[in-house]
Amino acid sequence: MILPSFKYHQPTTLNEAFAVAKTCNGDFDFIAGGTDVLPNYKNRLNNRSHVISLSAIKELFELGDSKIGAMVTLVQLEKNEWLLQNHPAIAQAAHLIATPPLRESATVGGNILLDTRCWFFNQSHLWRESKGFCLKADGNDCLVVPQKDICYATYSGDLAPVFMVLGASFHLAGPAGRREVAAADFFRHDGITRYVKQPEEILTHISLPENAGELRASYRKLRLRDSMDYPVMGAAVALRLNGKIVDELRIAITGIDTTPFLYDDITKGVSGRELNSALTAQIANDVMEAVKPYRNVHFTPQYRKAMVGVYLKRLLQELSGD
Amino acid sequence: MSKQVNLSVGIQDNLREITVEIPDEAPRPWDGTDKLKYIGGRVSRVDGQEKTTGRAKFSSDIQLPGMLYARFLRSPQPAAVVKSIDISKAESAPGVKAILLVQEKLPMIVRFVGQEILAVAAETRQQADDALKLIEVVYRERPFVTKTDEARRADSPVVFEQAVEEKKSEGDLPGAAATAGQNGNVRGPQIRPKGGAPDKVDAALAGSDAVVEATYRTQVQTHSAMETHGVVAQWQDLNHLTVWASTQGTFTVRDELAEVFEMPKSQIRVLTKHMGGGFGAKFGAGIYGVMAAKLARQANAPVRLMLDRKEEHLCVGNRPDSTQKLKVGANSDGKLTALKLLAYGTAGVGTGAGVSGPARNIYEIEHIYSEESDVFTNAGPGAAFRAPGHPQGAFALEQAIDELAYKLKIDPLAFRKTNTSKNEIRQVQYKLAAAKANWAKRNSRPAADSGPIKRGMGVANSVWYYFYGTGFQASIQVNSDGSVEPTNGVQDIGGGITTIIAMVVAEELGLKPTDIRVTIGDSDLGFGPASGGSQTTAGITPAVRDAAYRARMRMFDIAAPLLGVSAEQLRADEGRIFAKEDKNKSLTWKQVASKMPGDKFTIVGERFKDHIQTKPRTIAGVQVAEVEVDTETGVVRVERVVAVHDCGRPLDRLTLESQINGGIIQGISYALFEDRILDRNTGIMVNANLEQYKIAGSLDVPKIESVILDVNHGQSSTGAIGIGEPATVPTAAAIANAVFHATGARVRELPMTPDRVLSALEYKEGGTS
Repeated sequence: MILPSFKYHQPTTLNEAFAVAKTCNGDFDFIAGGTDVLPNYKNRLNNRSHVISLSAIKELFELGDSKIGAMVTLVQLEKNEWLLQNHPAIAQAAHLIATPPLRESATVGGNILLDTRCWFFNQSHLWRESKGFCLKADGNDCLVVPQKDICYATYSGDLAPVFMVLGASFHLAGPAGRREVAAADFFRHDGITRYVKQPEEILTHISLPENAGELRASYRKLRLRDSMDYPVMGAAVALRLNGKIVDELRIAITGIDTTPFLYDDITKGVSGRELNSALTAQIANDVMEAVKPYRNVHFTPQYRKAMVGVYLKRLLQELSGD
Repeated sequence: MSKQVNLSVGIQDNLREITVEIPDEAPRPWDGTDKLKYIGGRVSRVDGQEKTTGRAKFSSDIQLPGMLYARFLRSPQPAAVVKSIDISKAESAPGVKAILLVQEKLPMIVRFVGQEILAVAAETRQQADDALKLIEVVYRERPFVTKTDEARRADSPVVFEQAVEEKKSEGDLPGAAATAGQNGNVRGPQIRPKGGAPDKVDAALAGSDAVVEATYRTQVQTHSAMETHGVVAQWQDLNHLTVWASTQGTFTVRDELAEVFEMPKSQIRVLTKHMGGGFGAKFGAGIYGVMAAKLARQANAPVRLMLDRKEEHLCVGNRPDSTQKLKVGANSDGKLTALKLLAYGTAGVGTGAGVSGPARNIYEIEHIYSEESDVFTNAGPGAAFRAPGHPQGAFALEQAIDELAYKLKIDPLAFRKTNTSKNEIRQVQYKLAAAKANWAKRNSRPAADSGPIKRGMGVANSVWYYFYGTGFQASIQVNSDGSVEPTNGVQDIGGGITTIIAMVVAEELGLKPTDIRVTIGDSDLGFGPASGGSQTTAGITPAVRDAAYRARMRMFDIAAPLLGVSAEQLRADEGRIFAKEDKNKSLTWKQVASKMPGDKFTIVGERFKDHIQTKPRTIAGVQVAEVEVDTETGVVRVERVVAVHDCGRPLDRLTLESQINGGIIQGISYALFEDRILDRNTGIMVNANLEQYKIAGSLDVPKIESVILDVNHGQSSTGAIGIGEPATVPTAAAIANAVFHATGARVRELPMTPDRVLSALEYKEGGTS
């Protein structure tokens, strides 16, 4: 696989980046570590004529004080003392992504904005031509759930569910100014548009609320090989207990649907109740019933759904010290 | 003309004396008492630094002035007739220098997705790829079939209208191509009774105290060698062709090209200096080799045609799948009575799905009946793959044996002992494996652990065969500066034959392996073996040692008058030649070399038949796997594998261990991960890459402990046998038996993915097992 030709830009400030982007008439991609964008380019999947690198914009590299720059690499994330002390679940999730060499290059922002993946999309041109092109690239309809409107490719980022349960915010900058979006409100149910970030906007950093450190959080990832694989299901849980009583519980699941999803509607009602084995089983089962995996990655939907229950039970036991 | 020598042969230190007659000119074979300096030790690869620093040149590294890049246009249809091909736009595309059809006259029939239609050579690879998109092909689609079971039905679309001749490669077992009938998509069955007709086997089974009957299924596995298939082809002039090939057989590639181009073999040179693995799929020139040479001739420029990963998965070989209905009986005294195996599998549009090797060659069973068929499907052709048929066969057989042992309430290892009682080597291996794996501490009851995570230990036997070819010619040139250059056309596919040759020569001449400059991988050099059937080392090292021995004799003849002793009294060690009785009478190797008449001398050693003619000999092995099974998620983790293999007379224990490690890792990958998945609606492979085609990575590799069992036979001057294939045969079976021991559930289908393990557990819970 070889890269197609494109024009490479390396602006040094955000404003310069916006200015370059404006000249590209929408035919551009921002690029951070490149570990997600470039393989797709090699397969000629929605490749653009202009690639704008964020690697020279200094403000995107900040790390610490409840703030994580989008260009921080996953290796920095998994080894950062402040995170290991205060938010070990973030470092833990980062450690489970890809392989050590890829984590040297891959970034936090890149993992959050990871393109959705699908059996019918992440393929060579010959393959897609043989099968028929899909909605996400060169075609007219989704091959997972034919209905012509929405792409059902799967979101496979490992960090987003952790940020969601910790109540993090994603900070965007664009030609029209800056804005902050709660991680929980960031994603859109469509494998193509994926999130509320506009194409010309740049994810600058992630911030964590002050009380996030009071939550005990953990992330577990289901995949076939320990060596490297995207999650076919990933579960993040954050919990604050008062004795045995639930003060706050948040659950997010990734690798199942077009977006990572926060199950506040299920966990809200749990506050004030004793976290015993019956409640643990009930929560795990309710979330499992709520997820809707599609047949577009390595494992069957039935299996992935069943594993939501198993993983949540184990995470709740782990976090409640059971 | 011949002499008699006494040799100490046997298993490890349990040796006995035998007398062997060998030619006068031949060295006394190494035996169990020889104290050698390098042979049998641990020597790092002599080309290790070259490889790790990237200086080693593989076929895909070859750059020639004016070289063109070629790419194939491949069929997106699983079954079709090519009605017309329009290449006019592509011909005038930028950089395009030649376009050639694989089949010159249309219509052409295509039978699988990825089949080669034509090839384009252009100045850059990108230009070749771009030109392919400008080619218009009109296909008339035909019905197709991708599922093995569907292809067997009478109403299935037929893949081939005519009878198919089986293509043989150096990696196949002898006899694999035996003629067989063909009915629809089913070719066969090949029937091999041993100890009576089927009714006798049925009667013996019916009269047995215990019988296990089950169906086992294994998947299609692609070779996925690190280096893809491909060549760089260059015509020196119209009559001389040079090809750099990623191959397991420099001479087999040369021979095929000579046949295709109707040229004398001596006018074709095939070079393979370094090579990134083949596992059995790289013997011939391949369509890619032939087309590259044709394009190079047409364009009058060198052409590179290396396949990409997708093409590797689709077109150039795989391990066929299998469905094995196996019935095995035993009596309560623990003796096996009879075995019946009905098997079929698909090698796509190829042949060679047989699996009965283990069933017929491991256990002492009076009545054996096997029936095997190939089933044609619209998928890429199978090819010989590291112990063809054996990992599949062992997966079924060794689980059935295990199940039978549990049924009879006999320890699975003891049951195997009883039924291989005449095999001395196996008896020793069981003891070693049991000690190393701590088998005695294993809970005899399956599923004994409480909690969702359960641990288990399982055992499985391996079988392979001793093969070697003859007529190989190794040369050794000794130069007057003292340098020593062994040469042979053989290729090093990663097993380490370069290092082994250096060791054999160094040992014989009293020099260091790093002193020896080995040149191999060139069909203009002496005839060498293709690396198939695990026979490279057994094939070439006796010829190398023979040449080295006679080179030493020549050096002694030069040294004798200089030292004033007879040649018989001389010895060579540590870079010196000296009198055995008086070490002061000594010259350095270089000093002696400087006195040779002329500038150099060359001696050619040849591989003759073994001194001891044994009947076909099996190579025994046993592996014990320890696993951890998460019964809530179905995830199987292999924690440890203990491997004990017959290694003949080990030459380099380091490369030997590497081969065992590699075989086990590939076995784990086969057991748990790898699976070629075809879309039944389109016939295309869903996971033709290395992201979705899962291969075990470093974190999936357990602790591997291998015991190299020295077995001296004295059969040849080096006593070498092969280990490349035996090590991968029993791994999946041992893991499956360990999963049963951990959980009490039998997983009879590969790969043992978490969802399959969970299904097996549910089946067991349901009480129907």
